Amino acid sequence: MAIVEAKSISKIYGGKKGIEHKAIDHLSMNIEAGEFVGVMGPSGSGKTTLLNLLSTIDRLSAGFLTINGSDITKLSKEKLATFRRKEMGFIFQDFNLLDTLTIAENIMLPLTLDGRKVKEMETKLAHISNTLGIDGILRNRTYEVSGGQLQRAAIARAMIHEPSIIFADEPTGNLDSKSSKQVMEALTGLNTEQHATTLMVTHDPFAASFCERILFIKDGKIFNELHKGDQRQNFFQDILNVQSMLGGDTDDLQTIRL
Amino acid sequence: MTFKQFAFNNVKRNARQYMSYFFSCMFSVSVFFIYAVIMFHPEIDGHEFRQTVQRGIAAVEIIIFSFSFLFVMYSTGAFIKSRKKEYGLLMTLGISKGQLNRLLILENTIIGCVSIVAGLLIGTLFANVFIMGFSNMIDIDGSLGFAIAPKAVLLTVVSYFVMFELNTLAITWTMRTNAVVDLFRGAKAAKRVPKFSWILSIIGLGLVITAYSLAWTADLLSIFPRMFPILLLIIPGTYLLFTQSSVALINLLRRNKSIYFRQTNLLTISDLYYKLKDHSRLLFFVTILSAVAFTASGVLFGAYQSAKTEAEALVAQDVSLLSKGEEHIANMDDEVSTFKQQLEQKGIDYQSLAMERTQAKIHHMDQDIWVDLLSVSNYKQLQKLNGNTVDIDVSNDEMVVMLPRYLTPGEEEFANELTVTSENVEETFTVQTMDTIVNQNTHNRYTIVVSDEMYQHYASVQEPNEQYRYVAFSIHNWSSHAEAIYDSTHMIDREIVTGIDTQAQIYLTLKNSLSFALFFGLFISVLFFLAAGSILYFKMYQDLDNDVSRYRSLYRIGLTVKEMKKIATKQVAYLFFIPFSVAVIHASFAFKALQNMLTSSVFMPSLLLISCYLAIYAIYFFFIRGLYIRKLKEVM
Ligand SMILES: Nc1ncnc2c1ncn2[C@@H]1O[C@H](COP(=O)(O)OP(=O)(O)OP(=O)(O)O)[C@@H](O)[C@H]1O
Ligand SMILES: [Mg+2]
Repeated sequence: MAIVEAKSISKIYGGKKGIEHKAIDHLSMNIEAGEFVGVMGPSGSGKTTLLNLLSTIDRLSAGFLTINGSDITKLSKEKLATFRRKEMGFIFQDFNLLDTLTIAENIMLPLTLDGRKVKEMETKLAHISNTLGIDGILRNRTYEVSGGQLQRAAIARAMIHEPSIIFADEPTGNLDSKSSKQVMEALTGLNTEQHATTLMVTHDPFAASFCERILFIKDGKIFNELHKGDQRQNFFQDILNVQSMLGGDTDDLQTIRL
Repeated sequence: MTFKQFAFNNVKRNARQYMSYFFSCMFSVSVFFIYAVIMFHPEIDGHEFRQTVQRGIAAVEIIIFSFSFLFVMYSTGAFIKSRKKEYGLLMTLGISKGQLNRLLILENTIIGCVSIVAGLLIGTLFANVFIMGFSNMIDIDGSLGFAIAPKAVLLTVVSYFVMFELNTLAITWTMRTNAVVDLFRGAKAAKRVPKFSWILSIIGLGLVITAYSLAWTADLLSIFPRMFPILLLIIPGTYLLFTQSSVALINLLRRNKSIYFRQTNLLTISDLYYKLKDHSRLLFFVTILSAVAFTASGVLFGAYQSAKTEAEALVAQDVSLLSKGEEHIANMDDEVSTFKQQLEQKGIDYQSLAMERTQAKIHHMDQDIWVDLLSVSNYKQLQKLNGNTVDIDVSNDEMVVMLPRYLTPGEEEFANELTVTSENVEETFTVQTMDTIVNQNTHNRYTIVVSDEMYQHYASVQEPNEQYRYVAFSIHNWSSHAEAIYDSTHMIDREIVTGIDTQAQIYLTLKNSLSFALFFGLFISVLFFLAAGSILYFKMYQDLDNDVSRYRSLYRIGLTVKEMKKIATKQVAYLFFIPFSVAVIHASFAFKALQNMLTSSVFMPSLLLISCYLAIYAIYFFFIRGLYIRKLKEVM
């Protein structure tokens, strides 16, 4: 079953006064349930824009988009927000945890907004934090824990309400290699064990090598698609090859550190 | 781009942040200017009131100025703090300390000059209205003309310019001590968990409650010695209430999981937890300012409104004339008819009643004192004149002592039986007391009602100079003729009529002195009040950048605009109405203390006044909530 079905979607910035800019250009793609899909591409190619469109944060300029069977182009802004909070989980490069809340409160936030019972929230919190190995920091504040821990807390927040899909925009962008690895392992773990459908945008070939399938985009169009074979090492090499083919992003080429 | 252009563009680009700061400065400049215009008004300069009026206004000017000074200092400080990051960036890019200081001074000078000019313009616009109001208030014949003395302009420009510059220098001086790193951290430093102490919270509450009980039980005699202790308790009490008790309260709320984790409460309460602590000193300041404003204007307005009732309570008959001794009484009729003629000429309806009283002696509070006697049938006639129905009977062995309105302690405690003596007559009566219905006179402290028979008994033995003649007037709707009545009493010869008492005179004195106080008091209060509002507004704007990014991330994870509005409305409402409510409660106890001293009820006037403030505040609230929500909506 396809969780996300995008048919020929476009996003045009500017217009009216300024010059029009097609950030996404008639792009079509599907994401199946339980898939772990990566999106890569040079800077300015439209990765973030694509993620924002698929996650209903941004409005489509043209095209059709169904998520979990509902046509979201017809929903009002208000309905979209409630839809997002039920059906989606978000992970951002800069964590986006609220510093006025404890880690535990941050994780429970989606359930709280949904009006769930305190008991239920606490059980779910205990379960997810255990899975992600962050039980020890639940009572802490956001400034008291490391970046890797913050990102895992953010993953917990994205997962706790069992959304149909998780969107991650450069989740390892602010992390060192050790924390990156922890975070990616957490994400793949959730993907394999709990069948959490995930779409991740990244620059980092190492992080991307955890995905099952990678879409490369350039100038708002799909340029290439890679599937993971049996060997992660080979997959990683393939990613590097496509990246150098795409050009423009050479400074993102990294040495192997598997 | 020259350096000056850079500074100018900086102001222009930061217009939003500068706006509230600018408006507040402009507002205080224009208020200051308006008072200066009145103070230096050429026609007041020549008026008999000149000295008092000018002294009053000068006092107001000093208050406004020192207040603006504090306000500008606070605002500039807060403003600079919110931009520390920008300065840090400029410094890493290689701007020198001297250049940064010059940038700050230039920026602030630009703002200062613009707000002075704008303030003068706004002030000029409103000066006319104020001049008219003022001439009405102090009863100058004909209105004052519209004139703005150059001195007024000069005073405003010079004092505010000096103030802005001093402030800027103070700011640049504090900046000097900060390292670049500190600048970078600026206001963005991680928020620490608010701390509070239970002991201090309870002490705060205790101080406030003690002050309340002192105010609640105060009366005319105890209010003055208590005033200072009350202030000494209420100010630190309020401070602790905001810095400690409010945080403690929210902490309790946070522990109640079923409330705390109910939908948007989690966001509202947790954010408020920080905001209340961050803003506690500000909220305290705003509360005290508002409480002072409410109390001052409420007390003045209440007293002003109750002038009529107070006059009626102090003076029982609308007008009374009293002569003592046979020879004066013989000439009294002429004087009385002169007075009556005056009233008739002025078209004032009246009823009058003349009666005799006689003098006797009693023993009270360990000494012999003179009293005067009134027969019960005369008493009944007086009551009828005052418009009251009475059914009292005084038998031959009874007497009723009429007590004056203000008594020193012990005065009202009469023995159960008293002996009244006059010449060779000496009778003992059982004693009752009641509130007086005749006007006080300078000769005797008490008037005593006895039976007609007993009165005759004493009157028959009186010496010629122990005889009194009392003429009481009842004037329909006296307060609207107060001045005419008061003027008419000037025609009476005071040698012959020794006791002239009118409600009109008391009423006019109260009104006049209070209207002055009210004029100055209300405007200072309104100024304080508006300043309190501006400070809140300013603070909200400062937080906006932080809040915008907060709501941006919340929107992404699915917070609806409706929920954002709900949270934002609640938070703005708490920040606005918590200080307001505390100030109202503070003021209510002050009103209660005032009530203890007055006969008339101050409840309605104070309610009216608070409602006006509430209305202004509500408009303010909706305005700021609108701005705030609109800003947040931009990112959603
Ligand atoms: N709000 C906007 N208004 C106008 N143009 C925009 C807007 N957001 C993005 N763009 C443009 O759309 C294009 C795609 O931007 P996008 O942020 O999706 O790129 P990206 O692939 O995420 O880049 P990066 O790897 O640097 O994050 C860019 O050329 C960008 O300039
Ligand atoms: Mg991006």
